[in-house]
Amino acid sequence: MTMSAVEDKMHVEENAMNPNWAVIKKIETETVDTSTLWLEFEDEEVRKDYKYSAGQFNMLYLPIYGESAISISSDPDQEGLIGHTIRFVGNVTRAVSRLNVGDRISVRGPFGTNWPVEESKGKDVIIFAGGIGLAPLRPAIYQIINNRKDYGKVTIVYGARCPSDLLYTGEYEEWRSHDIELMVTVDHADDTWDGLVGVVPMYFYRLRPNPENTVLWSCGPEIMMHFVLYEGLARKIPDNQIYLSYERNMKCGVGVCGHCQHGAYYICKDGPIFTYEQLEPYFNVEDL
Amino acid sequence: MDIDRKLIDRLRAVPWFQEISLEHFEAIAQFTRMLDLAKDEILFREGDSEDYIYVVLKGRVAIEVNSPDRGKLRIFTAEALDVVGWSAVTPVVRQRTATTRAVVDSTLLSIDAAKLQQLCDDNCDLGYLIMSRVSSVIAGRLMGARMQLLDFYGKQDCEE
Repeated sequence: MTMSAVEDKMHVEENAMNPNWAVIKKIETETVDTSTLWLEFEDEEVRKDYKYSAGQFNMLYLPIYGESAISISSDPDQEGLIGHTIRFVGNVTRAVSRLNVGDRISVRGPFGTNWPVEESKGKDVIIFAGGIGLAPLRPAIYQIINNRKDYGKVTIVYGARCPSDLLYTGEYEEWRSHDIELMVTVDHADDTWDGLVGVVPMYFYRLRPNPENTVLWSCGPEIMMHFVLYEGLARKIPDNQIYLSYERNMKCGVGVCGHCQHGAYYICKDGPIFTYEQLEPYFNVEDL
Repeated sequence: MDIDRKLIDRLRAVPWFQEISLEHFEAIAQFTRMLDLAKDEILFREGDSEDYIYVVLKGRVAIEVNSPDRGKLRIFTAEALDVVGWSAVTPVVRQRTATTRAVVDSTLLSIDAAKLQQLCDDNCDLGYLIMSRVSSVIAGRLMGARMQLLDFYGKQDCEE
C-alpha cells in the first residue's frame, strides 16, 4: 500500500467517525413500536454531498444515550430527506422514540455493503423480508421501480407476526402497480384479516424460479433467513446469487471495535449484506 | 359409468394428482364434486367428523382454531392448489381439529375420504402416489407449524 493510499484510507475513516447533525423534519408512525424518521442535515454542504446505496445504514447518535445502527429506508435516487425506520426496542432507540419534529440527532454514515441493484439488472428478483427487515429492502424496491423495465419478474414475500406489525401498508398497491408480485403474510391473525396466514419461507413453494437467472435477497430475523436460504438452495439458486442481510451487533460502523465480527468478516464493514457464498463457511456454526 | 369429463379435467390440472392414470382419475371422479363457498361460509367446523379431503381451486380458505381465552385464531390460509383437510385420509384422526372458513368466494374439489382410502387400499400403486403426496402436504404443514413455534419476530404484543 502506498503512503497516499494509507492517507486516503485514514481520511475516509476520519470522516466516518465525524458525526453530522440532522433535524427531524417528519415522523411517520408505522406500527405501535416502529416509526420512520425523516432527517435533513443541518449543514448544506453535507446535505449536498451525502449519497447512499440501498441496504446501507447510518449510526444515529443521541448524546447521553449513545449510538445505534439504523438502516436507511428511503429512496437513494431521491434527493432530500433521508428516512430511517426504527423499532424502539433498546435504550438508544427508545430515547429516539421520544424525539419530536424539529429535534436534532447526530448521524454518521452511510456504512456497509448494498443490495446488488445494478448487478441484478436483467435478472428475476425474489425478495423475502420479515418484520423490520423490510426497511433496508425498501430503498432497493424503490430503485427497482425506478428502473422497472431493467428487471425480469420481481416477487416480494413479506411477513410479520400479526397484521398490526406490518410496515408500509400504504405502499403495497403502488408496488403492485409496477408489475411486482407482492405476497403479504402474517404468522397469526384474527378473523378480521383476510390476507395470507403462514410463515414467510413457506411461500417459496408458490414460486417457480429459473435459478440461473434469479437473485434472492432476504432480510429479517436470522432464523427466518435461514429457512429462506434452505428453500432457495433447494431450488438451485447459486450461492453467489443469494444475498442475506446480517444486521448483528454493529457498534462502530467502520470495522474497528470488533463487536460485529462474524468469522473472517466485520458485519458493519464487510456486510451487512453478504452472499451465501461468503457466509457458507460460518453457517450453522454453533454459538457463532 | 357416467363420467363427468369436466371434473376429470379439473382433477388432472391439479399438480397434486400428476402421474395418476386416466382409469384412476375416472374412479376418483366418481366420488369427487365441485364445491363453491361464499365469503365467510364454513367448510367444516372443529369437532365435525372427518369425511372429505379438499383441494382449493380458486379463492382462499382459512384454518382457524378457537382458543377459549383468545377467541378465533387464524393459523393458516390455503389458496389455489393447496390441500385442506388432509387428516381425513390418515388412519387415526376421527374429528376435525380446526374450523375452515372461506376468506373470499372460493371453489374447491371435495373428495370423499373413505372412498379414496378404499381405492388406495385396492390399488397399491395409486395408494403409494396419493400417500406420498399427503405426506408431502403434512411435511410442509409441520415445517410451517415449527416455524410458527419458533416465533421469528420475538415477543411482541400484537394488537389484533
